Amino acid sequence: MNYYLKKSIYTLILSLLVVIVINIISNNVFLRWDLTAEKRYTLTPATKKLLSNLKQNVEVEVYLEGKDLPAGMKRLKKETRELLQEFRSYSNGKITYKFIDVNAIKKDKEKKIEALVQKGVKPINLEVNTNSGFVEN
Amino acid sequence: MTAIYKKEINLFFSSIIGYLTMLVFFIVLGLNLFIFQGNIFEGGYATLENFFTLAPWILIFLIPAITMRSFADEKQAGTLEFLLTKPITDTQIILGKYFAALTLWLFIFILTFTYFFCIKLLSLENAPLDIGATLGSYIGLFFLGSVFIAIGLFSSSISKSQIVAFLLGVFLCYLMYDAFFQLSSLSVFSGKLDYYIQSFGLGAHYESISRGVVDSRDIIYFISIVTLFLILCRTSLESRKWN
Repeated sequence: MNYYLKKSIYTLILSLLVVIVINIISNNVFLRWDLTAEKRYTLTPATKKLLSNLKQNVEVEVYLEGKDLPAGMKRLKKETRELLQEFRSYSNGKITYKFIDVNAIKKDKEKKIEALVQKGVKPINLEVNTNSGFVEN
Repeated sequence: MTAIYKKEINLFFSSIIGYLTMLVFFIVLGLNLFIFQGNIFEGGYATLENFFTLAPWILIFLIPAITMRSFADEKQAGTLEFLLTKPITDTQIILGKYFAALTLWLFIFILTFTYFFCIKLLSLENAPLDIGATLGSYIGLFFLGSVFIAIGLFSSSISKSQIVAFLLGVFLCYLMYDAFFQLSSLSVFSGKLDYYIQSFGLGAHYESISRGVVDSRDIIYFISIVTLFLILCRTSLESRKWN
């Protein structure tokens, strides 16, 4: 093999390794600055302790998804996801979450919705004033 | 290095590409933010969220358009051999070109502050714009642009044709930005690996900074991707010596 080709391959492999190592180290030793006005993404020490001591995986299901969510609901969804993200980054990946659109459930829709209602999730109609009149969700 | 830097800057601002890029960027984002459906007046919140979710998608197309000619054009015109025989290293050539493109991006980036001031002036006193969170989003956007420039330079160094460089750049930018996120949402990975797969891509890190939380992990990730693509770019320049 050509000398230069060898040199290039070595440099490439070496730099890839260095980058991976640096990223692994930085994943364990990190700093974060919460710039938001109300410190929305700063968790209290108690919450952090609870999250880092989780023994089992925790899955969070949020029933807040849909094609035509009004802007307010979209915002709520985004904020919820951001808080869950924050939980996840302190839980060593033990917390997972997904957003579910109740209206899009295909199999046993009636049954699943009934089960949800029994658990205490009540469907509500949301009226939003738009230019073209009322939209119900 | 400074000579190359100056030459590249001159090229950007004396050709139409620099101005066209800015024009497209501001027209699309301005329309989306203030006029199209779902604009901030409809939303009713003083926030630049709209801007920060659309901007990466525009940048995926615009940054490769800025960087596509940097090496491809020199190869086509035959000036690259001339440049490489000069007493400067390959690294210096790449860094000169990288920082020139970064300066153009910084210029566009600073102009977007007008949106910030607009919305700040429009917002009510009891529901002000969250300056800290917006600052975080701006930091994320800047890093995202600088990663795209490195990707664009690499794809330009591979090919002689600007079109190929552009298309490859768009593809790689998309791959790094969104593909990992899409991959992680496959049901095979959901629940276990999805978090790790997501964190390989730019999108997850950009979103994380965008919230207004500046995390050293995200910054280090962005810088390492830039370094990696610049090294790849140097390797592709060095490939002339391979046979």
